[in-house]
Amino acid sequence: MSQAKQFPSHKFRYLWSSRFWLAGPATLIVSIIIMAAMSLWLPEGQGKINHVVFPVVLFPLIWAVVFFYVVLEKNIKRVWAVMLALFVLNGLPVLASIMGWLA
Amino acid sequence: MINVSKETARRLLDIHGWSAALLGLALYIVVFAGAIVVFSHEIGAWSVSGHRSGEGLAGTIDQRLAELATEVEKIDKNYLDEVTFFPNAAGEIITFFHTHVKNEKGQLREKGIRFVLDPKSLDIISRAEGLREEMPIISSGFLERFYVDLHVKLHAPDPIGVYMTGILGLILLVAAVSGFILHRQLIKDIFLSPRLSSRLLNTRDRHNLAGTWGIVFSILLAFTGAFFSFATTLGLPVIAITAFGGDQERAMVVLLGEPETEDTTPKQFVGFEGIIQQAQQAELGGSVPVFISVQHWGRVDARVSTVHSPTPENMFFTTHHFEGATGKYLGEKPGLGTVPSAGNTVIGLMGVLHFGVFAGLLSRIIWLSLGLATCYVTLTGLQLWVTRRKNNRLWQSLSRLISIIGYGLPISMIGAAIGFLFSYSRYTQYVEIWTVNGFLIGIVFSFLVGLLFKSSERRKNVFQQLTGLGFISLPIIRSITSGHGWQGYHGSSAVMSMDISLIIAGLILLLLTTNIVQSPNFGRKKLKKSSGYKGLIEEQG
Repeated sequence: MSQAKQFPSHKFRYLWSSRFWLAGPATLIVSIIIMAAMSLWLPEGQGKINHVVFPVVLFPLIWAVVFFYVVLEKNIKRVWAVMLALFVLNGLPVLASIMGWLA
Repeated sequence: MINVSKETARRLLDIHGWSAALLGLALYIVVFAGAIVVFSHEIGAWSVSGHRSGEGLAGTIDQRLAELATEVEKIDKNYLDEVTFFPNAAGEIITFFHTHVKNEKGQLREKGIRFVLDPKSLDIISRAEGLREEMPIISSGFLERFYVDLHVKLHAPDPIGVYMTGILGLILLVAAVSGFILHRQLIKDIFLSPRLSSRLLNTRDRHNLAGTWGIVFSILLAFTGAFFSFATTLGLPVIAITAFGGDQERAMVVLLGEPETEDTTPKQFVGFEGIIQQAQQAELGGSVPVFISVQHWGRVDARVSTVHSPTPENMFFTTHHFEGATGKYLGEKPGLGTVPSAGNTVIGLMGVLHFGVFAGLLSRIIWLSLGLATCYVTLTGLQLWVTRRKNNRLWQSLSRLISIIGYGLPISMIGAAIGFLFSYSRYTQYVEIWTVNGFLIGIVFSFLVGLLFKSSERRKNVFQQLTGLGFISLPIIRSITSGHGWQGYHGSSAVMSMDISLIIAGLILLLLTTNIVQSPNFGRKKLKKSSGYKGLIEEQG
């Protein structure tokens, strides 16, 4: 008997799990916001381009780190807390920038 | 290598398996096409039976370009704002006199006149006017472009195709990293000898062996590939919102470097020949430029940039700057920004790592091999997935699809090449349609073969024979349609190397289907623990 057959009803159990949604859409949103916020605090450097280049280059890595954190962390409440903190901490400067408060 | 709890390991295994099961075949298409286009320039040269004779950019070109500039100026003076100038894989010189205009969506687009020139006589092969993206294809480079577009965007419209390949890059990253975490014997598996006790264990061992060898490469390629897909479609627009108040044009100006103060005083352009000679010096580019651009042709503030391929002394592409009015060397210009920066170096590194051009031919051969190994890991992973679900009819239909797509992709790419070769030799205006038709015929043919043969062994044999014969037929068709063999290529080894490689690849595939290479006889050795829980776990992998 295959392992898949041992757990037939569990095939799509992740769809009802908050971890699934945290690892999917929430990770994507948080990664984009981290990337956007990075451009505000990273130094420009001599060429005045580092604050633009590094967030864009690092985006796939940011996404992967957040994704694997959500998957590997055992305590789902901690996952929620960390994701919320990342969202707020990075989202506030992004919001301030869009509203023109930083200018 | 990394200890995780049983529950986490199961979650990772589900992510590893499901991500590949749902998107593995699309990933295979992107990675296979990517491995092949490591040699895109050679494919382009081969497809037109070698470079056309002529010195190209290193020849006498000034007078002809001055004539073209005069002709363009009469039509629209603004088209002299920027002139780009480069040879394609066929050796033809492409020059594009253009300006930048906004389309109805407010996006900046290039508009002007494009000439394709014969490299020897500098006669105009074709002339097109309008927006760059609306111009007809250049037939001599179409096969190369067709394969590159398959890798970059799966031939889907922009930006959907680029998003798709970006997501597939992230999926490859997830599969490789989750495989690494789940892998308990990474070092040992480098020297793994696939077991013959059962087909499942054999497939699993081969999957682990190829995966172990290619894991660093997979992570590297997935990361750099996802960057290239998302950089301009997601990254730059998002950064423009936060750092530049939504102004993408301003973001591009910062990235490309602030333009110098303009001076519209007319001044004759000094010409390319002297500049190209200077740029070839070892302390500058060290080679004939692969791309040249001129800003403000015919003005005192004209600037010329020459782009050079990596050399044995320098693994990055380099750009050098000259005054257009005097030909004076102004120095090396970073690809991004106006002065050297960490950001510019990182972008350069992403390019050479993704394209595998950092150590010349050797690194490109390694990139091709590891790319094909990644394809093998993807297909054996999918085989494992369906073998473990042998009682599920839905997954068994995927089993057949794996071999259809697995062999169907090279067969379709061969079909595209055949379509190109026949149309290019007789009716160049039909190159685009017959390259695409050749690819589609290859797909239909692969599905017919896949559905006709029910036995997986027989199906595999037929596919290998067809792919092998297809590879061998390509040099023959190229030779017949071009009308000449290997002589007279003026030192271009691309055609001969490609012909020989295709014949060897075809012969290997044919050899695999003969009795000379015996397929493994699974089940000769009895499983040590064929019963009980441990035996089951081993069987399941």
